[in-house]
Amino acid sequence: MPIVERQIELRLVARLKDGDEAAFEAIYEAFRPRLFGFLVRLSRRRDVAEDLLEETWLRLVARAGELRDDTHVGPWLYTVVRNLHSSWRRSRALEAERLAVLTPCWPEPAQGESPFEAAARSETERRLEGALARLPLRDREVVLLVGVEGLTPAVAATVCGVTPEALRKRLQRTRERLAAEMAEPAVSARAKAG
Amino acid sequence: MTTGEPQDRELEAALASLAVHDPPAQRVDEIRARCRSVLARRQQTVEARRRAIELWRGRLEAAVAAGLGALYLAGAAERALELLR
Repeated sequence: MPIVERQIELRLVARLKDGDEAAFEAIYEAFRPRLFGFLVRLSRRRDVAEDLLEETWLRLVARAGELRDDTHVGPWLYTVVRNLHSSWRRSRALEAERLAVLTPCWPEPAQGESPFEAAARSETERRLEGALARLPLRDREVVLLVGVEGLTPAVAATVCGVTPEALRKRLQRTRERLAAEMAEPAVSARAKAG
Repeated sequence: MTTGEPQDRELEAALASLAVHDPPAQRVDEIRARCRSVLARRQQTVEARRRAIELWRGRLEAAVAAGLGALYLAGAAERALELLR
């Protein structure tokens, strides 16, 4: 189910290209929470997600005039978000390399933890958030885009820069892994989470 | 995404119904304000460019009108001189 109906989306894009603040506001309200959730689950850090979210919206308004008339705003935003996250990871990896000889002096989140686990509304949701957080990044992003954000596999493949077939295979593999983990008894799942 | 198996449908439903979160309200407002500021500056630039184009168009139209008028008067003067000869 699209977040914004297509005809409305086309009108919003046209108005945004003209600098219409009300059009920006409509798009901001429609996509902001979903982009934030995607970023938090992708990065597993709320602070990083907030910064990348801001950068995403600033890019949208800075490039509003260059948008094509038939732009699909959702996939455009998810692509920017994903690319910004990739850039952040690369810069973090470079930083870690440079600081490898030093003792870490700031706390890092434990691997595989989701900031949303504590806020989960049910045990199932908590376990699912944890299972998502433990997935390898490439697998996590495809299941987030298709399963959580509702993009079609074809659109998600475009966002991720892979072929639809490659994405479907990765999605199937990830779905099986998630289903297996969710089928485990809660006790052993907690042990796995450490 | 799924094969239609019950556990697949359950997983699909669970993923689709994960809670939607938002940044803190202050951050939401800060991002909104920065973006609106960018849009406003861009609108000012576009408006300034439009006014400059309008100004030069007006000057060009005046210059063309003056030139055509001068040509007409020159032609009229030349015909008048020929008649006098």
